[in-house]
Amino acid sequence: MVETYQRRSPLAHLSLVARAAASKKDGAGIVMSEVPHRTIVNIRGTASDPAFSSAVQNATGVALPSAANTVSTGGARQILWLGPNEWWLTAPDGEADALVEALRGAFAGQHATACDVSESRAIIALKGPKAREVLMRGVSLDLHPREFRVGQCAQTGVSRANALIHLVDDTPTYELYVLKSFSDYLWRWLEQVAADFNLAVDA
Amino acid sequence: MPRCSRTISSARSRGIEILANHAVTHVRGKLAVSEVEVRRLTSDGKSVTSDGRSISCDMVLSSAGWQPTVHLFSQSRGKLKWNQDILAFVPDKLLPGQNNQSVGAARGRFALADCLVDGHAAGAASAHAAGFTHSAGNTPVAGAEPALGAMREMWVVPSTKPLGHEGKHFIDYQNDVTAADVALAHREGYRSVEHLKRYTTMGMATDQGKTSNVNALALMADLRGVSVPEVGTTTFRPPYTPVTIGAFSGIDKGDFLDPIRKTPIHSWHEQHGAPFETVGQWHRAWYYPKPGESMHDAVNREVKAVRTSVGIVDASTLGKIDIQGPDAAWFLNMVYTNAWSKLEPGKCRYGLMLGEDGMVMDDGVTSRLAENHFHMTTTTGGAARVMAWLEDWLQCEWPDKKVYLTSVTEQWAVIGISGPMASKLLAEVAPTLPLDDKSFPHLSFTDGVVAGVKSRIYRITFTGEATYEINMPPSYAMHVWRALMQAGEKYGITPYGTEAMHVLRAEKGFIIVGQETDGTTTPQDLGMDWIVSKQKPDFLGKRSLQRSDTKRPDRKHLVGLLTEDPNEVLPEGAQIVVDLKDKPPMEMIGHVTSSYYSPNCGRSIAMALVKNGRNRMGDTLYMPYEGKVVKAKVTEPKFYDPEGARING
Repeated sequence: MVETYQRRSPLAHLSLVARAAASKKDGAGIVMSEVPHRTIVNIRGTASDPAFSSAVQNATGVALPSAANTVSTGGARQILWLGPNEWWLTAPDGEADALVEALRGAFAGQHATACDVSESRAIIALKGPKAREVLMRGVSLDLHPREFRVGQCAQTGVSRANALIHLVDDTPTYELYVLKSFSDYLWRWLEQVAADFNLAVDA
Repeated sequence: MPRCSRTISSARSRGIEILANHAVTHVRGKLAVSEVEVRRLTSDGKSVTSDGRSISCDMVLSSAGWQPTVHLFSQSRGKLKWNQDILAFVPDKLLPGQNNQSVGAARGRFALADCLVDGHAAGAASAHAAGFTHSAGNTPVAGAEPALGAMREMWVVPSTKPLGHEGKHFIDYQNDVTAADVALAHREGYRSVEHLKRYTTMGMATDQGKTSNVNALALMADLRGVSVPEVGTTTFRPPYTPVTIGAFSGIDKGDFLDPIRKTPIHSWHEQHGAPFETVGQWHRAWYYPKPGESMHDAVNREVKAVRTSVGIVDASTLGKIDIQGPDAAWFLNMVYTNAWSKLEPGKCRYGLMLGEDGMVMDDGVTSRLAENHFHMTTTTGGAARVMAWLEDWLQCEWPDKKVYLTSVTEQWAVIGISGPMASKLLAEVAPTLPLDDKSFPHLSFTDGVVAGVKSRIYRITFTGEATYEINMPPSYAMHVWRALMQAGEKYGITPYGTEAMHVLRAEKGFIIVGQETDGTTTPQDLGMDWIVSKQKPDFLGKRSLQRSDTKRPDRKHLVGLLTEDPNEVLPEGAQIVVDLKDKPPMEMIGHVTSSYYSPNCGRSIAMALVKNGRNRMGDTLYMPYEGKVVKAKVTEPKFYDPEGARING
């Protein structure tokens, strides 16, 4: 098979590793980084059907999040709520095929589906005391921690790209999932805004 | 010294002339401004002194003070009142029950210091009313700013001629209403503000009178000899959107004006000098000029290479939709014109999608991955629209059907290799893949390893040559592309862009939705009745195809055109006539939809939609344009390999 060094992350052309080495993280208002190659499996099914929710739990070890716009966690895996009948299962790189197979097996006899979308998204992490302020410049949702809490996620526009925003911790750290084709635009847009807040790059 | 007078004196000290108490009384120029005439105003501002002076210029800007944005307040039925100090209507009484506050400039307090005080107080009051108990902190303080000064009324700039003579005094720049129109309304008796508005359309454009209403009302007041508030106002409505500060100072310009969507192979195209064609928000490689080559040279070389050896194309932008569920085949039968039930797993089929009006909306190849699992492809530009269209039908019309859709456009990068050497090349980079026509025939797909990368390979064609569309994870697309370029070197592998792709498909007479179609084109118009099922009980658009107009035998049909001069390449969009006259008007019976020079045919080729075109085969038609007339003969819209013999390499 192909050597792994031949694999390129969507933002590879921006030379983020070299930039991270030259970047001062002390006192940075915001640290931006790319999270490359995460497994993402799109799950569709009927939330109210106990057979469906237990199939998901059995196949993945993660419970479906019960509330809208929330994220549930099980070990290194998470399930993000996207809509009333749609979720993303995220997991470390390389688990997609096995998870899709396990889910499809568990869904036998039900109308529920799994579809690997890992390769379709880039993930950009924004971390630091000014991360929320940077996002606020391109997002019309209320991101105040009173309204958008740790463990919540939402699909919305960030400037002119669509993204899913997940508030991971109260540093705060946000993870933005964006279609790969828009990732160059979104990274450069965020970087331009973040320049006002003492930006550092991590890799 | 206030800042504005400082600006004025600073401008004057740099030799910039500033004329106070003057008016622009005339603007000259045809198609563009070339000069203005300026005159001194008399002390009452009603007329000008006669000494005109010309100043050459190419732009005129005008500013007439401030008007509050009262649209939201007015739409919520709030009453406005006239403020003579600032010569503006400002919010007065709000209708009970309307939660709406006008603060700062929106209620006529234009100074920054006033806006800050007003906004801070209103924000704090709203937060407290919403249950927040924190202190709102200190009121922000503005730095020194110039006073606004006293306002002087001048609703119409006077000139040396009466209103409406020699030149126009525009009041409403969007709806082209002039001061003379307001005067005419007055003479005709349309003096009530509601009549004035409807007679002239003043204030009815998208700016809802932001720059014009008060001027027009004041002019009417003058004509009627009453005060402005006596004329009153109509309701300002909310379609008006204020210009945001971001529009002046934001970063949404240049590269950020609109996102540029890039494929995972984009940087290779860039490094190899390809200009890009914009398709939706995508940038697709257009052609790859070698040093010294013109676009024409490069495209000809690319087109020839595909027919003689092998070409490689980045087709990652194609829309892709994963379709799963027990009703998936039923669903495809409904959204495509042809039949899908009998398509075997492992096989692909071309499909045409119609709107409810029976007009062609999109096309693409869909493959059956398993009994209840399909992979649909759409046009690049139509991907989002098709996805929304399919979801709309599933969610609103067929909620009982068990089908789930997932967009996988970007889950797969797509590299097409096309041409007589394509299968040899693929055999080298995918040695385990059986490529003979029996195990891997045209219109089928297989999973396999290409250059070490797990891929799915579709054997489908948009060029008419044997073609393999290799789908792989985007993170490995650059590696696979490079591996193919390296292995293909001995065959003279040639990267080709969207332009060559268009020429190649046109040589074969394959349509592009949106180019051969324009929303008024049926499958029959395109000569594609073969893809419209006669057995299926229903599909979207079926009923509309039964209308007398869509069944008419003399609609505009897709035909080929061969110009008399083989080197003459018709412009796309050229109008076609059959009864040639010395000058227009002439009856136009259609237009050219696609037109290229085809190096493989050794001449120009064109497709056109022509009224009753299929019954004009062999006829000569005329395309008058740019002072000449081009003659062309009507043919079948197939120019190269009409039997389709080349598909098997």
